[in-house]
Amino acid sequence: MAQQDELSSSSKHVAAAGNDPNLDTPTPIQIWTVPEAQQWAITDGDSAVMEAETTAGNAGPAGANDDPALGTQFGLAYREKDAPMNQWEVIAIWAIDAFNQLSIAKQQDGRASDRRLIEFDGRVIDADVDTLTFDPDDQIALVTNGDDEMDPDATYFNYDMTVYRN
Amino acid sequence: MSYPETLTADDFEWTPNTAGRETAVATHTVDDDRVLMADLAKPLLLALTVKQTVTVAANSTETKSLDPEAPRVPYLPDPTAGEYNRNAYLVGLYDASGDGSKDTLVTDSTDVQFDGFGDDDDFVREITLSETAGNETEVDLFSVVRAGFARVRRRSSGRDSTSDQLHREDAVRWAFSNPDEPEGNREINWNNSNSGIAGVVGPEQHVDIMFYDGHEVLSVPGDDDADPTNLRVALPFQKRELREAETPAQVREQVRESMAD
Repeated sequence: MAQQDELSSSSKHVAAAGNDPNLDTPTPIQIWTVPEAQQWAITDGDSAVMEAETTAGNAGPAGANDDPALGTQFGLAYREKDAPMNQWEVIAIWAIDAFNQLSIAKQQDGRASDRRLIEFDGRVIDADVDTLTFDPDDQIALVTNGDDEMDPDATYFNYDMTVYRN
Repeated sequence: MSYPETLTADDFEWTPNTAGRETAVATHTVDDDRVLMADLAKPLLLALTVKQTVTVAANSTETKSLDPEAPRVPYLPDPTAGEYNRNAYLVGLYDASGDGSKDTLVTDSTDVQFDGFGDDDDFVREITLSETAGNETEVDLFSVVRAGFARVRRRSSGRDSTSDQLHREDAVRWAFSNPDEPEGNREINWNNSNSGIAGVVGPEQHVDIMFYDGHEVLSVPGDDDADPTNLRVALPFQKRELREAETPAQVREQVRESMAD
């Protein structure tokens, strides 16, 4: 049976991970693991709600606060159950500015949602695929590539998904 | 004839949750001669509350960083704008009369008073309280929860008890929904899958509010402390009496057959 749910930083299946700003590759901030007897499906083109915070105040373009630098990129990635630990396949990439310039309350507003659509990267996912389904023990991660260390506990992320319980 | 019925906080029996486990925090049992049906056209409100306590020393000022921060819920009164109210999204209560119950509302002119707020668009992050009467005072602060998930489910009871979900939402989305601004697309309505028999709750079946979070424990009516006055529940239903040809068991059977398998 299919149920609407959210891929969310409040989920009970999420674990915090510290991203590594020294690497040139995207590293995870938060990792979701699909639990036993469930399948998770995420769809191209829904709008996400996100607020990212860094662990330390910074003096980047966004000023001396907890906002990550404006050049920071975020993405969604997945790793299949038996893949090597660092093998994250990034399926969608977006920039921070559409999110951190709006409060979380304003992001709930449908009128401001078009800049926050998550779209699958055509180089990784075929253009005619609009739903990805993940099996038990597959992992999905919120990843980042930027100069700052993110605070996984203060970073808020929310994206619609469908859960199939077997 | 059906008529609208909105389940509010008073219609539920409350139980505190356990951190890290999904718990039924509230249960409503449908009367044995009534049938409820989810009213898809009306907005749902669900603002669950958490409590934190701050002690202010005599004749002094105390600044408290709120943990968790209080979301600025758009449809509740806003204390940072001077709307001190028992229904506000952030309520402070203390014991002014010395009778042991914290039942006096903190405003900007009480013995213990709000002196300032540290806030941004989303959250009140810290508050400053000052004490003017010369007594060390403990203040209970009730705020709307910003963490976790809340979902509404229906449940049949008895030997063949089954349950399924009517609606599920992240707590932040519950907090920032806004039924006063429909054009902003910020109201939360029943999930459309609740049309027809899927949204019907039969006689003596239950409507449960489930809550999960990894570390927050809710403050609910009926536990030992003062009740949270800003707890807000409004779940819209249509209600009708059983028809003469119907028996409760029949209706329950119909509903149960349509539930998750």
